[in-house]
Amino acid sequence: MKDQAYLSMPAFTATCCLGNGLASLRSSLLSQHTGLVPCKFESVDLETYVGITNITEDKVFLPAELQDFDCRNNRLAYLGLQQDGFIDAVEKAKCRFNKTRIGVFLGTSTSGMLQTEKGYRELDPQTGALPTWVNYRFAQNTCSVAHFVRLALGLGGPTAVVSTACSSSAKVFAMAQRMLLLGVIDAAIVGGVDSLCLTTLYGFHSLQLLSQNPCMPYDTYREGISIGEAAVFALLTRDGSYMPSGSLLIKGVGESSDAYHMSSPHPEGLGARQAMQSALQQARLSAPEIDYIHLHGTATKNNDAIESIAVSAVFEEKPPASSTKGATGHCLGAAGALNVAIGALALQQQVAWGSAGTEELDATLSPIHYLVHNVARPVNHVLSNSFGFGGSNCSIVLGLKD
Amino acid sequence: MKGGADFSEDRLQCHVLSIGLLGPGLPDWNVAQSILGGEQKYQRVDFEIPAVTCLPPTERRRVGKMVRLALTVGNAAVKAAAIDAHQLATVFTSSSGDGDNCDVIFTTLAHTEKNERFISPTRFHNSVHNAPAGYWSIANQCALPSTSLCAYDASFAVGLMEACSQALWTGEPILLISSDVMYPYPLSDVRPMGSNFAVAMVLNAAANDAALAKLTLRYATELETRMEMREFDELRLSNPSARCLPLLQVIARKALHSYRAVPCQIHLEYVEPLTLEVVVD
Repeated sequence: MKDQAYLSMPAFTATCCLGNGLASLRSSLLSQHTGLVPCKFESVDLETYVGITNITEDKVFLPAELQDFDCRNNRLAYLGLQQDGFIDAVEKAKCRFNKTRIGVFLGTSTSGMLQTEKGYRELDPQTGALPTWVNYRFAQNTCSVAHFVRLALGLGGPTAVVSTACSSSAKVFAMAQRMLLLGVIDAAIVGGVDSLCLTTLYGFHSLQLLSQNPCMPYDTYREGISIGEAAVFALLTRDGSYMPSGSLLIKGVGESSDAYHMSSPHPEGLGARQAMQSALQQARLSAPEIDYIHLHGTATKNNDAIESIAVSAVFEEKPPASSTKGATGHCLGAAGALNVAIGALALQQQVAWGSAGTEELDATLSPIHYLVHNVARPVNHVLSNSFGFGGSNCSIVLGLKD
Repeated sequence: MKGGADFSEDRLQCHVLSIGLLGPGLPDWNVAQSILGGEQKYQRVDFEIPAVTCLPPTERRRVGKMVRLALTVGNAAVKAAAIDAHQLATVFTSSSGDGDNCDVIFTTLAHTEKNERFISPTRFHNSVHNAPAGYWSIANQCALPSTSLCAYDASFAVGLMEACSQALWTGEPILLISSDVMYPYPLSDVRPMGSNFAVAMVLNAAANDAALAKLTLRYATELETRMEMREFDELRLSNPSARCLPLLQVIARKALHSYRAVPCQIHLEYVEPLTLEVVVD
């Protein structure tokens, strides 16, 4: 069962503050443009920057039959689904496979929580009841986005949300991998959707982890994260001989737990190391075969320091590595899938990405080969890291089919 | 390695090595087994969720009902399986998350002044859906993979399928914990639940002498199995984690009665139009 764990990724798409779909993401990354802007979101009065998408709430409308799902998170999901011919790719998969054998596994941390947050401002003065427009099941419930995407794509297979904070949408790749290779399903829609809301903005502020300036991963003067939002989707199938040479593969996924603290990583990065090593092992690759590491790199003091320790320990020879959160913000529950998507673009463009926002590399970090600027170079394998609260770690190895 | 488009294997099998349970009138698996198996009368009694002693004192003070409930049934299942929790990967599943914590955060954020929107950092990190998983891994020093799932009323069945697939994938035993706690008002208006309920199971691809049952899982379209006794069916519907009850009843009956050798088939609530077919041997 564990002999060969490769999956094919015939289609993927990403929508974030850099624009809708891969073309704008690719051109922004090539020009090292940042999408972070001063936060004017909702009623938020925090001095910070955010990676906000184009989804002004009057531009995206859900189909009439799915109106119950209407909330910022599902509108973002819907906007994301329309990009890069993703729906066509799913339609093709539906012709090839029974639609009850196509799974939908998505990561989110916020779900449609913003709607309930707003509802709490309009509690009935007499009874304290929530207003009738709060639709708990189809907006706030953690599974809402997977349910919505399943219906929007006309699928009828297994459906679930993984919600492990900032590793959520990386871990869905592992879930899909097991289900596909055990033969329970024939294809899977995986990805992540996370949207701006008050809980995450004020929550990270309370932990003093929110940067006042656009975040600066691995920089001497980094002071915390910039929160972003994103919708990322990928179609996964078992790898087969029919897939053309050069097509994208998910070669290995590694998961671990820190077992240390709810919001601080293990001081020696043990969990992160284990996740990277498991992913390499499953991909049947040795560390020197990785050409680029797409770091988690949230730009908090502690996270970057510990990730550098972990990467430095696993990789004796230092492959180029960087975080792109200075461009996209930290998209929390969608961060893992966005990291995979940007890693896939590195394979397609043969570029190891630089780090928008980073000016002076922190010399006190453990030695890694951190890229501030893009470097064109052969990229055959990418390792993508995602680590979350609760000590939840997930690393993914991507490659190209021979 | 099987593969290709003609893949036809759609059933997964695993063994239940142990069960931990806490629900109204169901204080543990031994009592629940004789009640569900028909040997003891069911009487609904609401219960206090116990404190958890397995966490360091600083962490113990910080955890709410959700974490306490999940850890309680997890500990019971691990103890019954006589396996070190340190060596078990985990699958957590819940529809609800921690509603009490959510309610306090939303109430705080409903203020319009900046200095009134102060959330405690502990509340914020406890608000993640994987909080029980995080505390469990700390309590047991378990660095193995852990996932946290949600599928509304299908959360138990989704968790069971995921745990079974992981057990087969790794060849190692795995702990499944499904727990849901009643929401406080006003969230209870939009997501009513009639009880707190949690179940845990240690599952393994291989059987051992103490295994309670062999499960064969498959997605199906038959209607979900209802329970003959009205009180049980009400309980089943009162909490997403209690959707496991038809399965537990079959396991209890097989353990207590002579028709141990006859396989029984039930269907658990899954995401419509699917149900999860479970054949219990």
